[in-house]
Amino acid sequence: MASAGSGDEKAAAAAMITLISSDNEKFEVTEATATLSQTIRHMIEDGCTDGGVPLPNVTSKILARVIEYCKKHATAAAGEEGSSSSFSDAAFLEVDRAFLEELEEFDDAFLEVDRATLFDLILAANYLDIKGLLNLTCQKVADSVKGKTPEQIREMYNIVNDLTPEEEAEIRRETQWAFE
Amino acid sequence: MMPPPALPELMDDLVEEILLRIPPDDPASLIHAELVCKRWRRIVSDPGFRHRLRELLRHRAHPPILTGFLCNLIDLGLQDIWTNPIDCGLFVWDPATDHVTTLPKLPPHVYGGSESLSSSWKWNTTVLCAGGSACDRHRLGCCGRKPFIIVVVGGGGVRNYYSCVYSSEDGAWSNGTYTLGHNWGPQRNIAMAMPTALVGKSLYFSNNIGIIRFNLDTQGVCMISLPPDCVGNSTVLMTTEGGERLGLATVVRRSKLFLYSGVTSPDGKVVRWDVSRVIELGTVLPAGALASLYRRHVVVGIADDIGVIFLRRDDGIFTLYLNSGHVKKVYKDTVYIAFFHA
Repeated sequence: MASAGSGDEKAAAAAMITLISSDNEKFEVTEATATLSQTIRHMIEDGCTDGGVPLPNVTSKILARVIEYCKKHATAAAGEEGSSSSFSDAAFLEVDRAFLEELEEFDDAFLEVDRATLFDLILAANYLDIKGLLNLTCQKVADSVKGKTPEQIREMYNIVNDLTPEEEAEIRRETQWAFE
Repeated sequence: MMPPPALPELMDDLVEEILLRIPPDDPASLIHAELVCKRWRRIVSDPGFRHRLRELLRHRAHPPILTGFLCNLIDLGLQDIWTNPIDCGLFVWDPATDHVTTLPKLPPHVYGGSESLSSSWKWNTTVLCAGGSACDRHRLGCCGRKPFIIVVVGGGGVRNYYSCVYSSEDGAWSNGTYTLGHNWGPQRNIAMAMPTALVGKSLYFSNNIGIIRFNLDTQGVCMISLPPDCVGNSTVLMTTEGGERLGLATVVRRSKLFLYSGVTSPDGKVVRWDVSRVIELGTVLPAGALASLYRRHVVVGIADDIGVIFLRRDDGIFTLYLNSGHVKKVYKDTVYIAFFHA
């Protein structure tokens, strides 16, 4: 896989960044991995990453997961750059397809977490401004809501029903079709 | 039993991000989400949310969640449409955001001096994308929300047709155009509150005797013949071939649904009608209360972008999915029901 190889070399040559979790654990990552986060990208551009980047909103447990996601997807981004400059013949397309499938499998496995972790990942993806991760995690929650009754949704996500019976009756009356 | 662990609190923005991604193939899920709690209800019912949802679906080339709506014209007090568009006043309602734009009154001279006949004039109207040089589609929403144009076409009296165009950019109606219809047969009424079809620069209105073509460039109208089987039947216009051709649906001999595709000449006239499909509704729809001899089916609407036909029978309104053949009863009432495509 020539394109992925060149991505690794590029990454190795790049500067390393230290990320510091809320519980003071340090994580060394490449710039290519870290800059999947727009928040960190801006900090790097502003030259304020010396001595590490403190992330007071993200625990080490969640940060480790986020970095795992970024590493995989940074390689994917590097791979894409490599293939766009080369000829898109069948062999390259085949490699791309295999890689995309691998990435999809990674994402599916990545999302096999409990609900509290999933919500923490959403908060971290939002804080760090990682669009792909935010989309992935929000989609996971949205998919879980599909086809469920309001009662089932409340139970799944531990939500208290604070609608008055009148409000509930009004919504049900206006949208009768959705309950048939 | 141990209560489940408390979940981290998500901000409104993030709940919105989640709710926006509820798979759109099951619109009821969004209604169920609205019933979860006050916060979810507030987020889902916000016009900004609905606007974002529509943009997101358009971006994914997904048909809109809101395909259209059925309404009972009498319940809504819309019997006013049986008068004329000048007296009843017109407004544009965006069902996705609930935004209403009240339009200025049509210029009174569109009656063409035959005001006494005005109440017998039948008319129809449609909203289109105003487009501009970069847009050749004119389908509403094809270039975002605004600007839009509204075309009103009416006919009646002895031999006149009138048309008038409103532009949201100008905030005003055009002067109006008249066309004399000497040889257009005995009935020149436009079928009211029925779907129109847009193909290229031609906007088509049906009137059960023929089809009226409105030319978006010249703003003139002309008459096009229906296939002989369709004359006198309730005929609903649609587009076929991915919006490239004018099509129509009608029920012949009480229960045979005919779908036609028209071959048009460069000037927008139909030179030939091809029957693209015939569906025997008696075998497709579930058995009703009336014996088949007395059962009559009428096409009331079409959502051609997703291939759904709305049919009225003695016992309700049914949807027929053309690709899968799936049938569903969607409404119990049958009178004065119109389907509006969003």
